Amino acid sequence: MSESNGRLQWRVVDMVTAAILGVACGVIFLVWNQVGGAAYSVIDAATPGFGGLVAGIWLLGGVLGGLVIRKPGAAVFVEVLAAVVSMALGSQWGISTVYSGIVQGLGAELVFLIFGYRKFNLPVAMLAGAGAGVAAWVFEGFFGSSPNFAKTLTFNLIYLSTMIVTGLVLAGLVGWLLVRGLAQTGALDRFAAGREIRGRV
Amino acid sequence: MTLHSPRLPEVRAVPGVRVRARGWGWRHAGRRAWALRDVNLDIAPGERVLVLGASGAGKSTLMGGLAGLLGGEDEGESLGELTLDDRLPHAARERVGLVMQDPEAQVVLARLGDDVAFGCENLGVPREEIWVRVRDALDAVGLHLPLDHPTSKLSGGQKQRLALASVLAMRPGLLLLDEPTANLDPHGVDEVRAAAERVLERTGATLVVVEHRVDVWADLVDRCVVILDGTIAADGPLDEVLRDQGGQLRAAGIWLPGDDVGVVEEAHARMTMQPAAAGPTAAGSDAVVLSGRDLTIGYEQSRPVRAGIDIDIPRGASTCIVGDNGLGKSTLALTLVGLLPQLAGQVRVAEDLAPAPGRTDPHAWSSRELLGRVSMVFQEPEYQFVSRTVREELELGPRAAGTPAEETATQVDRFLRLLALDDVALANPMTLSGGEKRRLSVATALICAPEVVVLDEPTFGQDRTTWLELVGILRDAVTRGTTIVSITHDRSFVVAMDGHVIDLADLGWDPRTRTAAGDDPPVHPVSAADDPAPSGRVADDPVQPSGFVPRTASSTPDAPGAARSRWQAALRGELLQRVNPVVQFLGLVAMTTPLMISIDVLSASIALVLELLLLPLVGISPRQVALRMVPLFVGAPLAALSMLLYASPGGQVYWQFGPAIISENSVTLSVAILVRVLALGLPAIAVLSRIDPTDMADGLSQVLHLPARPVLASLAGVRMAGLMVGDWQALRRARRVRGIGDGNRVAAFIAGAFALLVLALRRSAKLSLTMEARGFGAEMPRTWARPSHVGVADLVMMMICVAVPVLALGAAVHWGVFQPLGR
Repeated sequence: MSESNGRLQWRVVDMVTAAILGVACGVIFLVWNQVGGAAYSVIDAATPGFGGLVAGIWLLGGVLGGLVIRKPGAAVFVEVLAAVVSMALGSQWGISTVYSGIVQGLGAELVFLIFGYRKFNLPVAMLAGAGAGVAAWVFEGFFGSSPNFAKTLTFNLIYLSTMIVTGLVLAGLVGWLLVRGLAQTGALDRFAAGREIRGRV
Repeated sequence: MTLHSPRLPEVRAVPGVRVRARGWGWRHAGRRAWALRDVNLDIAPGERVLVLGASGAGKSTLMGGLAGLLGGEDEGESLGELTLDDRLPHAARERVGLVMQDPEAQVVLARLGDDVAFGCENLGVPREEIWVRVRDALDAVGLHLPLDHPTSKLSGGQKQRLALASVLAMRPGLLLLDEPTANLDPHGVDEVRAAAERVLERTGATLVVVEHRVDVWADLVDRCVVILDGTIAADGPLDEVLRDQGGQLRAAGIWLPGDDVGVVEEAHARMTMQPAAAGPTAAGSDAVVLSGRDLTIGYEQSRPVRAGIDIDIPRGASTCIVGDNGLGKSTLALTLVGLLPQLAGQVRVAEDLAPAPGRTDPHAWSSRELLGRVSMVFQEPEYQFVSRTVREELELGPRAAGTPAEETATQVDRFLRLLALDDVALANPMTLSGGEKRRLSVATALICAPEVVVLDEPTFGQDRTTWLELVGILRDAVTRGTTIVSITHDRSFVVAMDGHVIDLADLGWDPRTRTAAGDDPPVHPVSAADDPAPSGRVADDPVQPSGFVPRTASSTPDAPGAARSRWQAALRGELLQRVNPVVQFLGLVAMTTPLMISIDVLSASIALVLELLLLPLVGISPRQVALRMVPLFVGAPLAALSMLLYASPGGQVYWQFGPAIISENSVTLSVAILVRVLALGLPAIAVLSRIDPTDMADGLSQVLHLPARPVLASLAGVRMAGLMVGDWQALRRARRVRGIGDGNRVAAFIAGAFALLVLALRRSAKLSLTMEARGFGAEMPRTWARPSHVGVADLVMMMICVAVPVLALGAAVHWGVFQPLGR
């Protein structure tokens, strides 16, 4: 139904917006695969674990989904759909793209859950980004096409810190700024996230 | 085994809906002012009402209210009452059909028939009946195309007729048309109007249509309601209202009948009141400022749109480029201003405008060099906006060109005044009205004082007021010596601009097999009786896995030589296409996931070899596979190198430098990684490119029983992926023409991502209205027009998929090289 009987219930516009956000993020990932993805692989090969620094863009979906939709499951939904789209359009990591999406989405979702889906300020956004980064680190340790736990402790510790930093900045901060900018364009007027920033006009 | 007799149920007459409003009003959440209030309205069943009013007067709010789409308490508050046949609008949604303005946001699904079926599915109409309704509806709007015709290939007018058909299939008693022709060229307007007329004749539904051009609907409506300043200002027979309110309506921007002639005189009369201009520049009016020689234009080398174009644009004058849809007018515009490289031939800007002697091809100029020389105004102003306020938007060009701050400020003030944008100088450009956006986009081009400005459909969808202002601005620019080139369908505009006219049909030729880009190719009408193969996927034959694009090639099992041809068919990938897409995906999961357990060369190699052996079954050419694998060929060695340097050392150490250690262990692991990345990536690349999203969604809902709403929302979103890739390209061109396209890649990436999200969210807002209006989200059991099955082929595929990792890992265990995490 269109009426939202509860703060946490999904409306049609939430569902459709989450889907479109997911697809848009998938397209953004795809472009980033070419801009940052190459950098990631090269840096990762040349340095122990600093490749993580550019990975934050791939964590954007969860942060954006959570900040815009503000409903349970939004972070996971957006990030997973983004991963599926970027895989279907051609990513180099095969099916593990989707697993990564699920895990990264869960990492961000967990942070929004901890705050009871009530707080969506900059610190929460950055924590959600970091959550996604840590989740990605754990997953990539065991799984994926090249599991990191086969590598040295130094590598893994450096990779963990870069994933946290990139999550805080490229996913959290950038995601938060994007949502603010989007709200100012009036594109989020049907969402609390948009109305809070625009104020009464 | 045809279930339905030919032409059985014509679109049935449905009882029209009675509309009643008493003191009704609505205020959107976050707004101070009421969008509408004190609305009292009675519309009898079958009555046809035209709603007129200035933009922002509350017409769309009325339509949203009637369609039951305004949302719940957190989206706004309401006053009074509004009922349809004594029911609240959102409870009567199955009785209402809404068609809106933007053709792009009203297509939900990728295939024509599915899109029409969508509303019926949401209303729980039984499968057999859905397809009857789909055909009737398509027939009523005159869309005689195969049911699996891609919706992305439709013209704007066809998309709007499709929207009408989709609504019609729901058999509504109230048809709401909210400026359905505003984004269409004259041909498209005629198409949609004629379709709507046919539909009304057949159904007898009540009609409420919002429009800012009266003559489109004048002879179809009985009554006219005028909305001004958020309430009803007049209500009565059309002639009477026009007589009494004509002046006020014109002032509100409404095009009254006959205005397309009168407006030209008005534009010319206004010009005489303009201050005397500087007059054309010294170069003389005969000189050519921009030319194309033997041009072939298009987006891709393999798909040229038009060839052999020789064109000369005279300096300091207005040139209108006209011609039918599909000739490539917009493509030509982009090519002439240096935003889309020509496929062959030459583009030349007058020598004295070149940034350096001899550099006359604008494609070779940097983004900054374009500033002050050539500029372009896109059909959608949103593409061009990159700033947070109107003022900053105007400052952007002069600043990039290095104009001193004071001069820029004076310039910006002048343009703000000239275009009546001073009141919104601090507003975000995206929040402006349609007319304001259009004026701003023109201003952002003119403020850099370019010698040549190319405008793509500058008057599309504009109300009368903005139209006059635009013509005024552009004529003024011409008298100041600017060359104005307009791509247009608007005859009044061509006359008002009073300059050269070029019909693209007279230039060059169409290199595609199809000549003129006419509308509907002559396809036999879709009918239930003599249904040919293309519609075979419809539910006539429930045995056929009807989610698939028809495959007439699949021969009957008993035919002679069947066994052999079956193998050939399998090799062409037809076997795989019999497999439910969900099973294909699960097969992919089953095949590759277990391989991630062990890092060893043996299991990865066996898996890769088996995959390569299975590859022919997918039916995709080795060349295509290789092409799609390029990222893998780059990624695999790099992943292997990383493992080589940083793997936990073991065995003999060969080399060490800082944290990098190459050891016996790391060498083994890195070879394994190299093969493994390929083995994990290849199946996804081979299989996924062939999966149809619609079939996938059907499978996810019907086979896996995932919740329908998120699956369908995702499907509708995925349909927009192609549009978004196009958006990305258009945004890059827009940045180039605004003079900010030279920046570094990461900054461009972030800016592009932001703009893409803005466009995507604007679309999603409209799309969600479309979907909700078609019953999406209603709490009734949904039906599925296309059954999704699993069968023997699915079992075979699954067994093959499981066999790969079993063999690979089994071998690894047997020969003792099985290594979880390489330890």
